[in-house]
Amino acid sequence: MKGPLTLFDTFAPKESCLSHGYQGPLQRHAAGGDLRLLHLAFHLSPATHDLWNFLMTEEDRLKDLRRSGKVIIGALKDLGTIPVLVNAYENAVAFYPDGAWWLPCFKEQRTDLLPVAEALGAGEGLCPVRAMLGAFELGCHFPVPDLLFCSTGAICDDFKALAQRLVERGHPIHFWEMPHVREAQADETSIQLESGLRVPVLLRDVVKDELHRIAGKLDERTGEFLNVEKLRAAIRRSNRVRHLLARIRTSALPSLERLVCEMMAIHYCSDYELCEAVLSRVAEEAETLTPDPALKPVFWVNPVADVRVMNLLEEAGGRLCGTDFMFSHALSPLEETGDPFDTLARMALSDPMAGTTRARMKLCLEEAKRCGAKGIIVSRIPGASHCAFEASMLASLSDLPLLEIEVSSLTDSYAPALMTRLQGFMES
Amino acid sequence: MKKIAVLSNVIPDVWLEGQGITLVREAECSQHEPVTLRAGMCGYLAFLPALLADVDGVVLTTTCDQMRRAAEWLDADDRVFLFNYPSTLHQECLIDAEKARLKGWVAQLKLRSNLQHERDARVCDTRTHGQQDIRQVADHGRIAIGVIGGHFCGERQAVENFFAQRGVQLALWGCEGGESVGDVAQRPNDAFYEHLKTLVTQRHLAGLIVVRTTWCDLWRLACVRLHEVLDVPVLEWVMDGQSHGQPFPDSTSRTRLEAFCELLQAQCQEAP
Repeated sequence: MKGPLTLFDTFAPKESCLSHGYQGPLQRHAAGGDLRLLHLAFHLSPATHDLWNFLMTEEDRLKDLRRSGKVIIGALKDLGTIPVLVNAYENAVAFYPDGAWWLPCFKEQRTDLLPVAEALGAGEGLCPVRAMLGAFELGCHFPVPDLLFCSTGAICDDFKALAQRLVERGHPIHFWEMPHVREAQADETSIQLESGLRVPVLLRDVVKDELHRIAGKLDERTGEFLNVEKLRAAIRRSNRVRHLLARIRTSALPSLERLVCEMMAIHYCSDYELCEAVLSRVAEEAETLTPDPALKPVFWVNPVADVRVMNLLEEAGGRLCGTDFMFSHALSPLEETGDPFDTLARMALSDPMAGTTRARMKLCLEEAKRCGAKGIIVSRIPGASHCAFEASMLASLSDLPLLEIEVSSLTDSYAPALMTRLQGFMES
Repeated sequence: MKKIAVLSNVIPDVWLEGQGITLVREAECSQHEPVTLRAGMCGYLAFLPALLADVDGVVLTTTCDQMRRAAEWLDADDRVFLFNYPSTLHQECLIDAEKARLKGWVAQLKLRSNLQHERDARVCDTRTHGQQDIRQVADHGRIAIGVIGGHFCGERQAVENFFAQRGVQLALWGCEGGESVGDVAQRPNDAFYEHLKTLVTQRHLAGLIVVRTTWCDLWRLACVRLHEVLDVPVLEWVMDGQSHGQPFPDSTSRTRLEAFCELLQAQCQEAP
């Protein structure tokens, strides 16, 4: 059952897993400027109420963590690898500044983030993640991290350009090399990734070397010394969250909440313990839900800059049965017993965005078929350098119906046209 | 002799010397029929299918995401080589490994039979000739400018002529295929800006034009930074290609470039 924010607040849990300061009606966030909440239809349950409060209180929690002496580590772009490493340190917490890309949506554009980014040269030609530049510049929406790491190399041009702009604006970044992931040639020594792809062992060694370098900088900044056992423990914790997400991904949890849950995989919303507690409850409840037979199961490619599109999908007669929100490497279980740096290097190499579009789209298609999708929706991110190549590649591989749409930070002005396209696709 | 287009300045000629191949460094866009692109794709890609038909192989690099994606978009695995070029300075071992792989690919390419048609040398050695021309005329006392950027979707000679007609000399051609101006994609890329500052001083450039395609994010923001760090005027020139039979440059670009030339001339007259 779904409902608006006011009704959703009546479902606030009597026993929340969040501490007192982070509980309460979600309407307070709307009153504080997160206006998008007023235009969403929520899955009405205490567990998802906690989920939303957990998401919306990240800034407060980060500030509290800093006050308690934790070092805040900004992990840019890699979508999941560095946070596992950071969480091996007792004294550090990983934060994902790229998440600022949702701020223009949640604020319904009533924020200076994009105008400020534009004034710094990052105009509409770049992906909405340019909001991050505005957030750093204004020093609002999140505490500026104590250390910044950013993967570079085989990443999208938007982010590579924005990260350099951050450096130029006075935010030093430790860049680490994420090489393009390609299939190994017959004459190269190779390793096999979990996806089945064989890649040159050199790529694994390069990433591993980079991770050791990052660990050295974290040791220095936190005053802790990372050892194999600590990192293995962090990997086990990460696996617990991945296991919960696997349960949620196979459940009938509505699309909007599913999107929010999956996003937690990237950095546990800055608190892996709470993340695990929140997702445990969501998973428990989600497994009791049954899919609405009136809704057509679809596989969704790429995250949406406007979260309301997940509501629109269901209004149009569809539901998510599978996704590739660009970070499948943050969802697959990790090896717990071997060399943990090797495990993380393999994880990074499994980043679907670091490889070829063909390899990613093939995996999307396999996964779509495995989860019973009746069609695939490729959601373009405006300005993102990878998006122009995806739908055509998928069309050349797929025998499933395909729809390509573009989702900006606020879709209200073209929501009727978007609905028509979605409905047409669902009815076909 | 096999003809290979190497479309990135991070791969210097010397890496391919002695391999018995003819190097092509830039697509002569006016000679190639462009294909229609999807929104979001770099305008230069429109010319690559025709270029690929005209050469034996194409080498692209991962320095730019558009080129990384284009390598598979061209759908000719055995004739397209994607060089995995690092964006940082601490993994240069990748370069050594990729150099060896490139050498192997060239050797394989040479083993294959020649294309049926004999090609002329129209695109050969354009890089060398272009550099000589520019350097020969750089000190004749006229206002000197530089043009830098990513892949240029037009003809360098046409640009040179355009400026010459307006009393401005092109003293630096730093687009892909031209003189190397450093690696804009390196992170961080302070060295790139420092190198450009030096070039501007050494070449006595009165202004710099940064040319890019609509969807080129790296040069878009590099241009913003160049405005901040250079002491000379900087103009952004967005160019996605030139239609066959149409005048070069298009009317909007022409107006912008002419205004820029006039600005530089006025500044030059005002200078003591």
